[in-house]
Amino acid sequence: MNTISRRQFLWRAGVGAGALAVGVTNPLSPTRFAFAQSAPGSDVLVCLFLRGGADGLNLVVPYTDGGYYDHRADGLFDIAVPPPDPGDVAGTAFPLEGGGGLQGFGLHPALAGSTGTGGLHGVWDAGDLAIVHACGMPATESPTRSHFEAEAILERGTADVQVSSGWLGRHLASLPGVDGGIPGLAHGYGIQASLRGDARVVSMASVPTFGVTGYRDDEGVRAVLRDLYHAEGGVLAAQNATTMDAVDLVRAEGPQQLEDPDLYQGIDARFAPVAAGFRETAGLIRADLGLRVACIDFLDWDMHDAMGGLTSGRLHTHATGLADCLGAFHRDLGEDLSRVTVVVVSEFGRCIRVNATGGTDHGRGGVSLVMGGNVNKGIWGDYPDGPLADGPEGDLTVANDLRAVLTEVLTKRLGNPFVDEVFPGYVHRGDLGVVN
Amino acid sequence: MAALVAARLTFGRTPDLDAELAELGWEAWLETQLDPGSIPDDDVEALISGYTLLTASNADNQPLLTQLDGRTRLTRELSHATFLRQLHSRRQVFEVLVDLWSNHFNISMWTKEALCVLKLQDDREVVRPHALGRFADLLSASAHSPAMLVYLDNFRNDARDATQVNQNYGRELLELHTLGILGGQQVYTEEDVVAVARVLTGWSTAEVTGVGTQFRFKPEFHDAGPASILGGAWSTPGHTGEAGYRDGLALVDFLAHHPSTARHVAWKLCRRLVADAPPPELVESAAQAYLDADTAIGPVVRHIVHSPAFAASAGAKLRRGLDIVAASFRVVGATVDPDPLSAASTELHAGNGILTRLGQRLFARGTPDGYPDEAVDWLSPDGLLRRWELGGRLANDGFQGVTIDLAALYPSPRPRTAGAFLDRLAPRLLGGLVIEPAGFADLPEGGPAADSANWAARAGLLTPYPGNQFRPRSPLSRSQAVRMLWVAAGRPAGSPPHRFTDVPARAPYRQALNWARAQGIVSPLPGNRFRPGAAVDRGPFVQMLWIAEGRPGGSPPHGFRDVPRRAPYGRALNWARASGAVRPFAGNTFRPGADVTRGQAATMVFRLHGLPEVALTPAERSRILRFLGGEQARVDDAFLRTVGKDLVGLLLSLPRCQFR
Repeated sequence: MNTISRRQFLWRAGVGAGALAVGVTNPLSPTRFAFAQSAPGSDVLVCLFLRGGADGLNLVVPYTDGGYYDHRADGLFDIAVPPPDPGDVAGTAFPLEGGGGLQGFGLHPALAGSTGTGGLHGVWDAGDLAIVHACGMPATESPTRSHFEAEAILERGTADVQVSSGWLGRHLASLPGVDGGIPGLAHGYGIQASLRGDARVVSMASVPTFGVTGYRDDEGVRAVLRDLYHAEGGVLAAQNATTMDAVDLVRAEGPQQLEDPDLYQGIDARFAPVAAGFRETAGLIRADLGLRVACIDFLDWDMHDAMGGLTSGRLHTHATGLADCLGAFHRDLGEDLSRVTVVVVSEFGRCIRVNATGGTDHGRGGVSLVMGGNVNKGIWGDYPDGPLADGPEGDLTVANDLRAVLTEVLTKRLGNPFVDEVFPGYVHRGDLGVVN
Repeated sequence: MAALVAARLTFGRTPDLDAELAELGWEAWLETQLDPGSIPDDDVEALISGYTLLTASNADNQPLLTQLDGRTRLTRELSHATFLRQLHSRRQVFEVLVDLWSNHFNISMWTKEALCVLKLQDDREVVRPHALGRFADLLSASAHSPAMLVYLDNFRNDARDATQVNQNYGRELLELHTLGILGGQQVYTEEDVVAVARVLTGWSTAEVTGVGTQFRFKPEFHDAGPASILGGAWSTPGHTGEAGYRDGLALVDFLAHHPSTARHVAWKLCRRLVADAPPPELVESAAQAYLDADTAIGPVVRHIVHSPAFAASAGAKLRRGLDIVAASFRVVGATVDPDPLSAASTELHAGNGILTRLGQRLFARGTPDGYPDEAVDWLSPDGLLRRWELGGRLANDGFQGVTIDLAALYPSPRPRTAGAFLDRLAPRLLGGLVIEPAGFADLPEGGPAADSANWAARAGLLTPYPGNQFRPRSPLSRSQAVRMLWVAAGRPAGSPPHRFTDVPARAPYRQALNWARAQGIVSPLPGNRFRPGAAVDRGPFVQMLWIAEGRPGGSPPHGFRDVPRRAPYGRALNWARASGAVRPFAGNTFRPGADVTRGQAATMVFRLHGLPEVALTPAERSRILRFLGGEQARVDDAFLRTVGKDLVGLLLSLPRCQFR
C-alpha cells in the first residue's frame, strides 16, 4: 500500500505541480520525465516476442556446419539456406562479418526486408545488432515443448507456477523512479504475461485512438465511469486508475503527432499490428512519457508445415516482415537509438531436422537478437561444437541461457541492480558481452 | 440463484429469458436446456435461413477461395450466424457449450486459406452435433475433421521416407484436447507425443481440389510400427491397412476416457461456469461425473450447476470480449442486420470490428489453445476503454446496421424527472427482473418484500387471499409450504399417494403432498397425520427447503448465535446461509423457533429461484444523477435524444456489467 500511495503522490506531483522538481527538466513541456532521458542505465527496453517458436537455425544460419545441411534436406524437402554467395545474395545467407564473437553465421536473405530500410542486414552493417544463438530457457527450467507452457515459463521468468507476475513486471516494480507516466507499454489489447505484476503497465492497441469514444459527451461519461470504477475497488479500480492517467497523458502530449508513418509504408499488411507497435512505441519514446519497457507481439511462427524456401513461403514472409519492422524502427529512432535496446525472443527454437511435411517441430535452443545504439556487433556466447547432430532430442541444445542475455541488458542498459528479484533462482555466471 | 444461472449459462439476460426462468424455475429450465432438441428455435434459424454456404458441401464452397470476396463471405456466414445464435437462440446453454468447444478444439479460419471452407463443416458436423453429447464422440469427430487435420497439419503426416513425423496434431491432441497440463503438471512424455503422432499418420483428407475436403485414412501414409503411450497404458503392436486406422480410433477413445482427460474437461467446464481457479474438489467431483456418465457432457454441466461452489460464485467471472458484446446487445434487445455481408456484420466481425477490438474476433484465435477465459487475460487498460466504447456506441447508433428500440427501453409512461427516470431504467439494463406489480392491497409497492411477493404470486407459489391481499405477516401453513416448494421444483408428478389421514381426498395441494412425502420433505405426525393448517417454524422450514433442493452439502457453519448446536436442521441452515436464502436478523440471529411468515418464505424461495431486482447503490445513483443534471432535471424530448442515450451506454458500462 505504501508504494501505491507514494506512486500516486509522485504522479500527482509530477503532473499537477508542473514545475516541481519531480523529474521535470523541460520547462516547455512540464509533463516530461527526466528519468527517460539518456542517463546511463535508463534505456527503454523493447521486447519483441516471436510467438510460436521461431526457427533460429534458418533465421541465423550456421553455414559452415555440414550437419545443418544434412538435416535440413531429406530428399523430400530442402529448407536449408545455402552459404553466402555474392553472386546470388537473394538465394544465399547474408554473411555476418566484421563483428565480434563467433564466426561462420549468416542471416536469412529475407532479413534484408522489402521496404528499402535494409532490414536486419542494414542494422548489422550499422553495427547495431548482437546475436546470441542456441539460446533459450534451459531444459532444467523449461522441460516442456508446449508453446503455452514454454511461453508462460519464459514470461514468468521462472518455472514456478506459484509466481503470478512476469519478469518485466518485476523489473519495473524493482526500479526506482518509475512511478509516473507510462513506464510499461503492452502493445495490443491485453497485458502480456511478462509485464504482469505491481508496476503501472498500460495496454494500447492503438495510441491515436486511446481514449473514451462512442458517446455524445465522451468526457462527461468518462468522468462518471472514472469515479464509479474508482469506488468499486479491487482489480477494476486499479485498471481504471492506470487507464485514466494514461488517457490524460496521451491526450495532453499527443504522441501520435510524433509518429513517422512513412518509414513503415509497404510492410506486409498481415504484420500491421507489429509495424504499428514499433511506430507507436517510437512516438511514445520521443514524447518522453516515462516509458521504460514496451512489449510487442509478433504471432504465428509455429511452422510445422511447409516453411518454404529462400524467396517465398512462410518463413520468408515472416522474416521479411520482421526485418521491415526492425529496420523501420532502427531508422525511425535515429539519435534516440542510443537510449533504446530491443530484445527479440521466442519460446523455443525448432528441431534441426525437417519433418514429413516440409516444416520443423518444436525444438529447444533458438536465436535471440539484440538491437540498439549500445550493442556490441557480433555473435556472442557459445554454440555447440562440431557438426550439428540430430541427437536424442532432435534439436539444438540451449548453450546460452536466455536469462543471461536479459540480465546483462537489465543491469548494463536499464540500470537494474535487483536482477535476482527479476529471475528468482537464476545464477548469473557473467555477461556475454552483447551490450556495453 | 436463477440470476446466477442466467449469467453463467447464457449469453446474457433478456426479458424473455427472465420470464422463462421465472415460470419454470432454474432447475427445470436447466433440464430443458440440456435437451436442446426439445426447444423450438425457429426464429433464429429463420434469420440465417439464407446462409447457403453454411450448409453447402466443402467441394461446393471450395471455388469461393479463388473469388475476390470469397473468404469474406465464408468467414462472415459462420461468424455472423454464430453471433446471431448467441443473441437470439432459445437454446442458450447449447450455444454456451458450442462456444466452449469451439475454443477447446480451436481452429482459426485465418491461418490457412482452406480453413475458411473447412471450419464451416467442422462447426456443422463436429461441434454442434456433439456440444451436449458425449465428449468421446466430439473428440472422435474432431479427429476426423478435415478442418482440424489441415489446421494442425496431420493431413500431410506421412511416415514414408520421412525420418520425423509431423507432431503438431499429436501434441495438441494430448495437451489441449485430452490429457492437458493442469497447474504445470504433465502426465505424458515427449516420446508419448511422437508415438501418438505416429499412430495417427494416415489420418488425412481426400484430395478434391487442392486441399482435401473430406476425411480419408491413407494406409500408405501410416506408420505400422508398434507404439505405446503412458508407460504402456495403451499400446499397439502396429498394423497396416484398415487395422492401422482402427488403432487410431482405439487410441482416441482411450484418451477420451482417461482420468486426466476427465479432469481437464471438467476443469474447462468449471472454469467457464464457476471461477477462474475453480475449487479442486469441484473439479474432481465433476471429473467423476464425466467418467460415470461415459463422457456425456450434460451430466457434468448439471453436476457443476447444482454444486455449492457454483451457488457461492456470484460475480466471480469477468466477461470476455464476446461475453460483454453479446450481453450488452441482448439486454437492450438490439436488432442486428442478419445479412452476413451487412454493415452490421462488418462492424462486428471485421479486422477493426468491435469483437476484434475487444480481443475476441470469432474463429480467429491463431493458436490452437482457443481464447483464454481468465480475468487476467481480459482486464487491461485498452480493454477497459473498448468496453466503455461498446456501451456508448450501442446506445448512440454507433454501429451501422444495429438498432435498438429506445422507446421500448425507456420507461413508460415517461417519468418527469431524471431521478425517477434513472430508477426505472437502471433495473431494466442491469439485468434485473422487471416484476409486474400484482397490486396487493396490503403491501406497498417498491420494496424488496413486494418483489418477492409479486414474484411468488405470479409464479403460482402462493395464492393471494380475497381482496387481493398477500398477508405477508401471516404464518405459512404446512399445506402452503408444501405447495410452494412443489411449484418451485417445477411441479414434479408421478409420486405415490401420501396416505395422510387428515387431508381431504380432493385437497388442491394433494399432488404437492404426494411429492413432498416421497421426497422426505414432510413425515407423518402421530396417527399418520399431516396437520395441513399448522404453522411451520423457521428452522424446520429451512430443513424442508434444503431437502427440496436436494440436500446440498459442503457449506461452512452458519454461525447464527441463537441456533442450538445440535439442531436437526443445522446442515440445512449452513446451506441456507451460504446460498443467501436466509440472512441474519440483528445480532446475527435467525429466530429458529418463530413461525415462518408468508412474506419470509416467499423471500427465501425468491432468493433461490427468483431473479432479484438489481438497484443502483446510493453512491452510484447520486454520481449518475450529477451527470444527468440532478434529481429534478426535467426529462423531455431533448433529454431522451441526447443525455438519455449516453445514460444507456453508461449503465451498460458500469463495473458490475463487466462480471457475470
